[in-house]
Amino acid sequence: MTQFWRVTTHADFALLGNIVEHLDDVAPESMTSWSLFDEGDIARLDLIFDIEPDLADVRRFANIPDSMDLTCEKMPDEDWVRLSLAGLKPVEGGRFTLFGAHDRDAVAEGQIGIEIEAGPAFGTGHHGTTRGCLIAFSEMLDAGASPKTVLDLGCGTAVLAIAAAKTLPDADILASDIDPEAVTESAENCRKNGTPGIECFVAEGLDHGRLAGRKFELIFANILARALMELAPDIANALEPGGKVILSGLLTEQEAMVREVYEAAGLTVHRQPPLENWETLVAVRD
Amino acid sequence: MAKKIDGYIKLQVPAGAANPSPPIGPALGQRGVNIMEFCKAFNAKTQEMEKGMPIPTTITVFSDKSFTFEIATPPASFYLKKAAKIQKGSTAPGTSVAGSVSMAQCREIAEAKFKDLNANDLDQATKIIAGSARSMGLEVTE
Ligand SMILES: C[S@@+](CC[C@H](N)C(=O)[O-])C[C@H]1O[C@@H](n2cnc3c(N)ncnc32)[C@H](O)[C@@H]1O
Repeated sequence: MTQFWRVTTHADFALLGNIVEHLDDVAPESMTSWSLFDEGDIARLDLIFDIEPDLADVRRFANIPDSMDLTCEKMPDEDWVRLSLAGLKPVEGGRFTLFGAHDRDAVAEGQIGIEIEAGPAFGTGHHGTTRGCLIAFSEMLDAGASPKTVLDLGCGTAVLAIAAAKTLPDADILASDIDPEAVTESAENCRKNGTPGIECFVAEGLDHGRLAGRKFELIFANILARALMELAPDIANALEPGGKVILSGLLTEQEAMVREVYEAAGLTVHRQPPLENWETLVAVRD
Repeated sequence: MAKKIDGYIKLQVPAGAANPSPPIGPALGQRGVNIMEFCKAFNAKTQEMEKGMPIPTTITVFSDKSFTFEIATPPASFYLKKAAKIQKGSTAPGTSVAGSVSMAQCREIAEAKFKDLNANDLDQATKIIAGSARSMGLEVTE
């Protein structure tokens, strides 16, 4: 069993950034990796060695001044694969539980599972905006809604479209994103989740042939405040009378601004409880 | 929406042969990066390369634990050891000689690594490689 030692120091992110910039040229072969992570107020640099390092040596080659703390510990012998998955725990949002392939068995009784691997696209559920949308959608379902036409605008991983497909078997569901990589991942996720009926395509906002003239009973739009504001007239126009849009991706301080624009577009806006400073709004066309 | 970057991990990974055992496991595991996903993606990206060649890899980790990675060419020391047919550089460069490489070999290595070297032209890049050779205790012959 190979043993490893971890040397750790803390400082400002930029300062540690300067240190790692030259690290690869000066480190001995026994240093097998480094990692630099933001930990809120401070950043942390770890250097991992496969022989016990001499701290004075490390200070010298890495150029770490005496004013900075430097500690060394023998790394415990861990099941690293298991540990790496512990940070990717399933997430619940309303009726839905999002999980990675390694957690297939972890979906609680009565919850609807959605399998999403952490990949380049946004939307693993480890974020308040996605959860906010899933909760708002679950509440709609609880109130008896069953929209027949759904658009997931800015679909990322298509998590919201998949949630819709799993609960609205008769609905027509479209998922679009400005980012082609996200659309590829969306199609793959739809296949994995047994919801291949979802149409995934690349589009900027509602500007796309497949969206022209179409009306929806439900639109998900988890984008960003600015994009949501720009898209407000188009989104309002793409809603059926009585149709709803779930808006997310806006911070608490942006809520009033976004609300105003949607009200001006003729919608009635309801605010959901914020999650970690992220707001979700449900806007209804009269 | 741009995802928030939590940090970076830098390590060398053998081309086409990443697996969860050390040093990959400890480096990624302690940061909650999905080791299996990384190995799969890395091996797919490097499958055309010479298997086992050490690839300097920088992984960017986002706050939702998803990641992207970039790969560079193997370090000069890898090519130099191969050219000199030795396992290790000298432990006391300058006083003991571990082996030798020719200028022509340095030039070949400079070509292979050119995009990652901070050099204006091939001559300058060749000089950088020859410098690395000397600092490993290799003799550079004409
Ligand atoms: C916050 S993510 C949401 C992902 C997923 N719907 C979720 O709820 O987790 C926002 C997505 O919107 C996409 N996007 C940004 N601007 C857009 C636009 N103008 N039109 C369509 N998609 C856009 C981004 O590429 C990104 O994938």
